[in-house]
Amino acid sequence: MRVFQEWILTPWRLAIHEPTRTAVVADMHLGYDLARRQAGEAVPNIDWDGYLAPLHAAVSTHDIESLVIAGDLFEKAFDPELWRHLRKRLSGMGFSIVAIVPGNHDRGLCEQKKLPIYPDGFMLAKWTILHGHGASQADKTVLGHWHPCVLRRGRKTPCYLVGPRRLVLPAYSHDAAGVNIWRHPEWRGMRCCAIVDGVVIDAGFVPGKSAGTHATNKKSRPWEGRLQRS
Amino acid sequence: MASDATLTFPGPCPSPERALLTLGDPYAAWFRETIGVPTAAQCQAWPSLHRGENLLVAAPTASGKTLAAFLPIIKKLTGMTKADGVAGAESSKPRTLGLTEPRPLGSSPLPRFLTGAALTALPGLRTASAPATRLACLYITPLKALSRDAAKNLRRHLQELRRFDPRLRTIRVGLRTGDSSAKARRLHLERPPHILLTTPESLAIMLSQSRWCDVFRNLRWVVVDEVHALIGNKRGADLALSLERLETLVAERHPSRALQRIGLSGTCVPLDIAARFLVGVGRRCTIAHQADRAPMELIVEHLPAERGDSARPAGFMARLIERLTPELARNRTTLIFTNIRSIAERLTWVLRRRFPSWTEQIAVHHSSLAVERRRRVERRLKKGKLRVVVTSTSLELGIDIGSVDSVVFVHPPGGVARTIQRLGRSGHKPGQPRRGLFLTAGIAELLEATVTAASGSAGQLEPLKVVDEPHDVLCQHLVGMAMTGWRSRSETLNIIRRAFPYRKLNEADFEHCLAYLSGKKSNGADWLPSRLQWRGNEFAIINQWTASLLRRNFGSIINEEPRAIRLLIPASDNNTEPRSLPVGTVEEAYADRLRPGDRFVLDGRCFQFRRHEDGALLVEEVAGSPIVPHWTTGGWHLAPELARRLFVFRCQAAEALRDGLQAFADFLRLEYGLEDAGIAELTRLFLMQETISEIPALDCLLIESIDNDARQEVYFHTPLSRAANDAMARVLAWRLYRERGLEGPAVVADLGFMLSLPTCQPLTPDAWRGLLAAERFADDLSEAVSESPSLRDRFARVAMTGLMVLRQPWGGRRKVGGRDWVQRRLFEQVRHHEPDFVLLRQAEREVHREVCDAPAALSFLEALPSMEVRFRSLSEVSPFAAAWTQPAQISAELAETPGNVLERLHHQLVG
Repeated sequence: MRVFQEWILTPWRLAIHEPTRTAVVADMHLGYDLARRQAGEAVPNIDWDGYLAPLHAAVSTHDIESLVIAGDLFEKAFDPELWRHLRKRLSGMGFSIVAIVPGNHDRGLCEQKKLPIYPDGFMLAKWTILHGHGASQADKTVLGHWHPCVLRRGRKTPCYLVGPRRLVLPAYSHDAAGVNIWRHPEWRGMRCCAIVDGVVIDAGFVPGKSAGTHATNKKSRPWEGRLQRS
Repeated sequence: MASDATLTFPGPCPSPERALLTLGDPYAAWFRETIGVPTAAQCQAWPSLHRGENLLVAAPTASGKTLAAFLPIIKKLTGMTKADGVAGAESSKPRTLGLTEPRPLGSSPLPRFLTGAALTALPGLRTASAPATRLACLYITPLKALSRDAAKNLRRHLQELRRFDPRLRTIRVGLRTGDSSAKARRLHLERPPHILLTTPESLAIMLSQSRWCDVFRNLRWVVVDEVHALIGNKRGADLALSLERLETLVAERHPSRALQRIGLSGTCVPLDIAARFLVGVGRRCTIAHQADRAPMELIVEHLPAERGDSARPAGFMARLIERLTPELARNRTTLIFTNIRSIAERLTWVLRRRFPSWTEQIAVHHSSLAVERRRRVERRLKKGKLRVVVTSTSLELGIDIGSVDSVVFVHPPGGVARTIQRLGRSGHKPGQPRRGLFLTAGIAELLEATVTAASGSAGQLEPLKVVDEPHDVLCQHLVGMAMTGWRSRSETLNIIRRAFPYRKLNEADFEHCLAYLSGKKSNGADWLPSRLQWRGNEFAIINQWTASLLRRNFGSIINEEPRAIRLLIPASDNNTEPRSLPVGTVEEAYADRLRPGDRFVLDGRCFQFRRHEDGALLVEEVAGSPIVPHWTTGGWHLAPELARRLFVFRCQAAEALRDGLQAFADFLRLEYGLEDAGIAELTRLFLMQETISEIPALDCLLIESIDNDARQEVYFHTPLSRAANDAMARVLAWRLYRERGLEGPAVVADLGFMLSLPTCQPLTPDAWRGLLAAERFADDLSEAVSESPSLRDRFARVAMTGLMVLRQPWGGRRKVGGRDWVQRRLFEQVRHHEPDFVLLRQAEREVHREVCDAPAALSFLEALPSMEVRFRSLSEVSPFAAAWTQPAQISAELAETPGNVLERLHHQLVG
C-alpha cells in the first residue's frame, strides 16, 4: 500500500521510502529470547533465518539499498555479539545500515562511536525518522515505539497508523505484542492500515471521542459491541 | 509394577459407646461432655484409625469428619515417648526463640550459589540439623481459607481438651500457606509444630527444601481434606506425587514405618477411586462411608417471559428480582449461586438498589475480589450479619459459613455433584433440611434443572475422574526432587509410579520429561537451557539460583493475568497521604478497553476509572449506572452423565406425550415434581418439536437442515455434553472442508451442535454417515485443532506449569512480549523445533480430553453404524435446536477464511 505518495507500507512490518530506496524498520528487539533466558525461562534461541525472513522478502521484491533502524534495535541493551551477527547477515542481503536512531530499550547504544547513531533523529528527504518515545517538534515524522495493533478476537493484529504528516510503524519483531490503538487518544482520527494474512488493508480511521459515563459509552464506541461479538 | 490398592469396607458400624471406647478417656469424656454422641462417620473411623489403617472418610457436610480424623491422632500424639520428640516428651517450660538462642548445628544458611556438586554434601548437613520437636501430622486442604479455618477449629478443640489432658499443652499447631510470612516459615523450620496445616502447593515447595525434607522424615499421619475436590485436576496429581515423596522420606529414616493416610471427602462416587487416589498403588485402605440422609428440598421454578402481559417485567433480571423478593424476606440468610462472576456482580448491584435498607447486608463473593473483601464477607456471613450473599462458585467449597437457610441457583449448575456441594452450604448442621431453589431463564434451563433436581434427590452423582498423568506437573516434581540432592533415574520412576494418577506412566514419557528438563530434544540435540545436571545415571538441579527461582513458580493453578483495582482514599484533613485499598481484579483485556471516566461495577459498587498507577487501575466510588466487567470463564456446561440423562428424559417425555397431554402432564408432575407453569411451557415445546420436526430418539441421530439465502444451517441432535459435541463438530467441519471444500463456522452446545455451510447439493443420510465415521477420528481431531486458539491456550498453561515459562521470572516480566507471547510465538517455535515436545503433547492431550471430550464423541460415533440417521429438511429452526444449540455462542475459531477475516476487520473499524 502506498501512502504520502512516497512511502510503501509492506506486509513485512517495514516501510519503504521509494525515492531514496530506503527501508525503515522499528522495534527489532534483538535479544528478546536471551532476555527471557536470563530471567530463568527455558525458551529456544533466536532463529536467525526466521527473524530476518521479512527483511529478506522485502529486499527480494523491492528495490532497496539502505536500511534505517528507528529505535529499539535491542531488547535490553547493546550486545556486540548480536550486532556483529545482524550486520553480517544484513550486508549479505545487500542492505547498508545508514542510520540507527536509539530507542528507550537500547541502553549503551549511544556510546558506540563506530556506528551511525542519530540520537536526535535521522532526516530522510523531508521526513524525520524518530523512535517516538520522546517529544519532538519535527514536522513530518516516521515513528516506532508504539507497536500499534488492532484487537481481533482478543488477539492483536499489527498495523500502520497514517496521520497528517505522521507515519507510525508496527514493531518489526514478532516478539513484540503490540499496543491496542484504542487506548491512546492521540491516534484518534489516524488511518489504520492493518496487516491481515500477508496483505496491508486500509481499515479506516481510528474512531471516537472519549467516553465518560455509561450513557455515552455505547454511543461513542460503536465498535465495542462488534468487538465483543467477534 | 506393584499391585493396585486393596480396599476394605468396615463391617457393621460400631456403636457410639464402642467407638468412644477406642478413643478412651479423657478424650471420650471430653467428647461426651462437649459434643455428645459421635456420628456414624466417627464411629467407623476411630477403630480403624486406632488400628493404624489408611482410611477414607466419605460423609456429608457437618458429619464431624475433622474430629473423626484428629481425635485418634491427638490421642496417639500424647502417648508418644520422648524419643518420638513429641507432646509429653517436650519440656513444658516455655522455650524462647530468639537471636540469642544457639542455632542448631547445620542450620546455618547454605551458600547462596551452591553448585550441584556441593549438593552431595547435603545429606550430612541434614542429619545434623534434627529439629527440637518433630512434625507428626500434616493436614492438607485444597484452600488457604480452609486451612486457616481448620487450624482455628483444631486449636479451639485442643484448648478445650487441655482441661482433660494437661499433656496437650505442648502440642502445637502450625499453618503454612502461600500467605505465611517469611518469619512464620522460618520459625516452622526451627521449631516444627506437631501438626502442620498446609495446601498442596505449599507442600510441594517445602518438599523441595532439604531442611523441610528432614522434618518430614518423622511424619506419621497425613490428612487430606476434601479429597474429592482434588482428584479430577492437576492439583490432585501434584498432591499424589507429594504424598509418595513424603512416604519415601519417612521410609528412609524409619524403614518399617509407613505413613498413615487419612482422606476426608464429601459425598462422592465411586469411593474406590477416591481411596485409590489417597493411598497410591499397592497399599490398603479402609473406607468409612456415611450416606447422605439429610432431608433435601429441591424446587424448580421457571421464570418465563410473559407473553403479551405488559404489566409483568420483561427482562430475566427484573423477573428474578421479583421472584427473589419474597424468598429473601422469608429467610434470615440466603446464598445465591450465579455460576459466573459478571452475573453475580450485576445481581448484587440490582439487589442493593432494590433493597436500599439492606445495602450493608447484601454482599458479593467471587474469586476476582480482593482477599480482604472475601474474608470480610466470610466473617460476616459466619456471624449471621448478612442477609444475602451472591456468589459465582467461590463459596461452593470451603469454610463453614454458618447458618444459611436457603440456597438459590440462578441458572442450574450443570452437574449433580456440584448441586449437592452447593446445597451442602445450607443447613450446615446435622439433620437440618437443605433447601435449594432453582430459578431458570430458558426452557433448556428448566429441563436441565428438573433433571438435576431429580438426580440430586436420587443421589445420582457424576463419577469422579482422576486426572491422567499430567506431564507438566511431573516436570515440576522432577525439578523439586532434584533440588534436594542427586536422584537416580530408576528410583525416581518407581516413586512416581506409586502415585495413583501416574500408575501407568511409561518409561518413554518419563525420559521425555527428563530430556526437556535437561535442555535436550528427543534426538539428543541441545535446544533449551538445562534445569538439571547429570552424574552418570543420577540427576540434580543445575544450580541453587535455578532452584530458588523455580521454587517460586511451583503450582498448577493458572489464573488469567488480572489487573488490580484499587480504590482511591483521599487524604483527610490531618495531613495524611492519599492512599488506595485493594478491591479486586479485572482481566487485562478488559482493563485495556477502559478509559478514564468509564464506570463499572465491582464488589457490588459503582466505580469510576481514574488512572493507571504501578500496573493497578485506580478508581473512585461514584453514584450512577455502571457497566458489568467481563471475565473469561469456562462456562457452566452439562456434565456428560447429566447430558445423557436429559436426552433420555426428553425421550421418556415424548413417549408420555404419545399417550396424550394428560399422560405427559402427569409424567412431569408426578415423576419430576414440576409445577403448572413449567408443564405448560414444556407441553408447548414438545408439541411444537413434534409438529415442526421430531423428538430425537436414543437409537437415532437426528440431523435437521435449514436453507437460508446463501447458507444452510445443519443441526445435529446428540445425547452428548458440549465438550463431546465440540470434538464432533471440529472433526466434521474439518472433514467437510478437506473432502468437499465446504467451510463455515460451528455452534457447539450441550445436546447438539450446528454447522453453517455454503449452500450446496444436500448431503444424504449416508453421506453424513460417511463423514461421521469413527475411523481416524483422533487423527482428524488432532489436525482440526492443530492451529486452534484452544491448543495455543492450553500450551501456554502447560508451559507455565511445566516451568518452561515462569509466572515470576527473575527481574520481572518482559513487557514487550505481552501476555500472549507464549500462545503467539513460543507455540510456533516449539512446533518448529520439536513437534514431539513433551509439553506440546500434554497440551494436545488436554484439548482432546478436556476442551473436547474425544473419548465420549468417539464412542458415540462407534455406535452410529447400529443407529438410524434421520435427516429432515426444515423451513425454520426446530424448537429443540432453538432451545439448546442456538443460544450457544459461535465458536468462531472453526474455519474462517482470510476473506471473512478481512471483511469483518474492516467492518469493525469503519462501522
